[in-house]
Amino acid sequence: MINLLKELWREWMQSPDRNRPPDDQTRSGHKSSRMTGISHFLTYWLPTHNHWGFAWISSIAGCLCLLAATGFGLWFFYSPSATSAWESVYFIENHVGMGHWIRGVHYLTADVLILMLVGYLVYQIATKSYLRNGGLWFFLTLGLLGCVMFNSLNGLLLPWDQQGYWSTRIRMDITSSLPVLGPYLAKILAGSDPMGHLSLTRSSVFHMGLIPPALVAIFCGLAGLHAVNRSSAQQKQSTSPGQPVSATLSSLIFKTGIFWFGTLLAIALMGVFHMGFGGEDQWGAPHLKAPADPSSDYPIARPEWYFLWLFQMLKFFPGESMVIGTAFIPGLLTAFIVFMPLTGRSRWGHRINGVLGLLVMSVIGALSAKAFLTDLWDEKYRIDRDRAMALGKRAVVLSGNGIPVQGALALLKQDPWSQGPELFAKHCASCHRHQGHDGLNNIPSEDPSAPDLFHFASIGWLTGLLTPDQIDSPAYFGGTAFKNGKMSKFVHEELINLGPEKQLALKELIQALSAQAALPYQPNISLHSSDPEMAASIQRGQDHLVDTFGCVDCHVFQLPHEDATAVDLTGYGSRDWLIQFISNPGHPKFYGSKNDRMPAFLEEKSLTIDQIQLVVDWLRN
Amino acid sequence: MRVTAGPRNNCYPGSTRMEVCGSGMANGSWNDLAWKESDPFQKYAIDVMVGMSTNIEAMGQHKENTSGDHSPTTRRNFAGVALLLGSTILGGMGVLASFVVSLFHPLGLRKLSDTSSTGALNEPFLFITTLDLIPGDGSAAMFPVISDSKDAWTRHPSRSIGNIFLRKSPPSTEVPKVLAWNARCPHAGCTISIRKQEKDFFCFCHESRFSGDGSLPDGKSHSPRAMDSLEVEIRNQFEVWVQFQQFQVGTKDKKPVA
Repeated sequence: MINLLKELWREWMQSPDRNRPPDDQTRSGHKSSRMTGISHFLTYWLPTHNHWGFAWISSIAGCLCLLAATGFGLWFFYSPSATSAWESVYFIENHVGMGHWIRGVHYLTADVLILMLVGYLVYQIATKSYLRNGGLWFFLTLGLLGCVMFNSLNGLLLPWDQQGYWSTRIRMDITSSLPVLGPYLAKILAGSDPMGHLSLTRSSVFHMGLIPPALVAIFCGLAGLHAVNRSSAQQKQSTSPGQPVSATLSSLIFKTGIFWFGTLLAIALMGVFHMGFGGEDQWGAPHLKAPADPSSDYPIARPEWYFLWLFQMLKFFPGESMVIGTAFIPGLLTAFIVFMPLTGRSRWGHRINGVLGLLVMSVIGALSAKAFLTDLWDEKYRIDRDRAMALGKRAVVLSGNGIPVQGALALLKQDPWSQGPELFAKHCASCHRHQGHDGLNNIPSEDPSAPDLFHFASIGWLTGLLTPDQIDSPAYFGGTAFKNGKMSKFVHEELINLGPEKQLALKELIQALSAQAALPYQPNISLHSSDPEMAASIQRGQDHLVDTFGCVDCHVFQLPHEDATAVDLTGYGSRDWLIQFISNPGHPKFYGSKNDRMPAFLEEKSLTIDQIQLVVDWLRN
Repeated sequence: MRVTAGPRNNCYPGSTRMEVCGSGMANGSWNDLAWKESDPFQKYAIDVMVGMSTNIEAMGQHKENTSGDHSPTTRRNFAGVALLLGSTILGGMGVLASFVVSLFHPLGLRKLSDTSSTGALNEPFLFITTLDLIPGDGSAAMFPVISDSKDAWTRHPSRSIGNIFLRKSPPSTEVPKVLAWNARCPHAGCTISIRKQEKDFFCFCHESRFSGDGSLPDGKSHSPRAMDSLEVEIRNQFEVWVQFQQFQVGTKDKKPVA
């Protein structure tokens, strides 16, 4: 056995046929030539001339292998359906050993491969080698690029997060607006309208089933062409045996080594780039955004970077001329590239190809840069992006305890932290503010017409309310009818120039009132405080509320009070109190007939009880 | 077993100069034959291959001989070939058909009968909200469209399937007319936002602008048509029902998606 291996090894190293083209061997016909197959196989791939083209193609092959290896790794865990795709990718990222790394390499390698294929096409044009084999070599490379880009687009949908969903949906909408075949093409690509389970099953078929064999086939085509080129080169050589081929193995290894190292470096740097400009906090594929939600708006939907120029170009074609940007120009560009090997045959044709190619590249570069920088400098875009990122991370945190069968979106929909601000922005922020903004960090252009509810009923909030120069500010009653009401009058007249004793009493009153709210972030200020001193202080504060300051003249506090005209202070700011208040502020327990403009959200069915609870839980935490 | 070792034609282990290596092939390869034939394993492998090729040649000869020969063997062969060919074609067609049918399934060869293009189940008009929840000052507000919906095999009970804008116009009339638009931008399908300050609609994707009444303010808007208005019905005096539809984006004509 060992002997046999030794034989084989010698056979490899000493092959007399190392540089012999395959055609010659079959022609010579003797059976022994089969034995040299292995050595032949090893050297067969090497070029007869010493050029960088081989380094390109070997690095491209390397990237494809990386993609295949990591892709199979991901495939073991991926589950294509609208209620399990995000969830399975979440699982890969957080619970599969090296999962984040595998997905990161898969994602970033695809990006680098696209860059590299574009680079290889440019290289072919620059060295005039795009004319080789009647342009077939160039076409095959172009086909490779097309397949890789198509597969990358398919792959982006697979995690079924907001980014993948919205960029795909808009791309499908644009596709469907293309003339003649557009609507049919969009339907075939999207799988179903509206997109759902079937879009994912379809995209996985394209991504994992149909395109990879196509890539292999194209690569085999390139290998076949290589064989043809090789044998014709050697025939030429054999007619002039004195002339040696310049390729040496060591120089080839050096060149491919440089390239392969550069490729790996590019993959690493691509991840760093995402960290620098994409707001990512770790190396790898961009962080999963929240699970796809067809009913949400996702204002930061952008295409992938290689289509960013198309996105930017659309802004130049208003109205019906849109078709110029979506169909005409891309079509023209494709035609130009496809016909390059034909037009390049003449000397002038080649020059025009070069100049036009450069021009197109710089226009595409400029458009992409414009789109990229516009977003980078746009405050609104940054706020929205940070929000999308935060929601994605929140979804991951929530999923930590296990995801219900309805999927992670249902989990997110029941989460006060993520839904509260959305609901607040939609339903409350037209009057109220939250720390000066609308809950989502946007600052509305109009002045608030109702109090700022950040830390509502906390000691800080109440202290501000009961300060004469603050109660009429926009953060409290400034924008409301209560500005001229009894409460404001009381604060202005009774709570001014207090002596030290009364100041202390007011402080204790505020503490006692805030204790009614039982806010989670004020754990010490509680009616059930274990600290006897605090309990006594709160008790004193309640007495002040009733006696010292006479709040119960208007308000209800613990005891029924038939002539009460102001809101009930029993349980003020607590969860139940807030839910009831938002449900119907005009209830006699609250503002009654004095209610300013606040709608009864539950009574009028503009919010469900679940939604009110979400807002309340968010406000109180 | 004889083993050729050491330098031969400069093609020794570690040689990287290919051209030198290759130049001696014509002499070298013949000399190697002798020991290879004597290797029993090798011999066996070659025998198998030769045997196979002989069989194939024999089959070919049979075929050539069929003309005019009606012996039972050839007839059986012919039937076999016909069967093989026929079943291959049939099978191939089956393979192709199943692929084609699956690929083109979304074109509606077999439609999910109970869902519309919006994914909504049930009737075309959907309850959205009540009249008093639409701002009274004549500004627009966004409302989710809630409906039972179906995604292939999954049924989603009352889920938001899209967003619309509602606006009362003109304000302060006894029975105000309600205007409704789909919030999906007719340009490229992003979601339109309300700009309160400018009192208009704006799509942040490609910066498409629409007037407060949903129309195109000037020829410079990116959208090829005005915002897609929707049919509104007021039922029971205060319920707002809207016929929620999706329309083909990117075209001048407002064409409902089937």
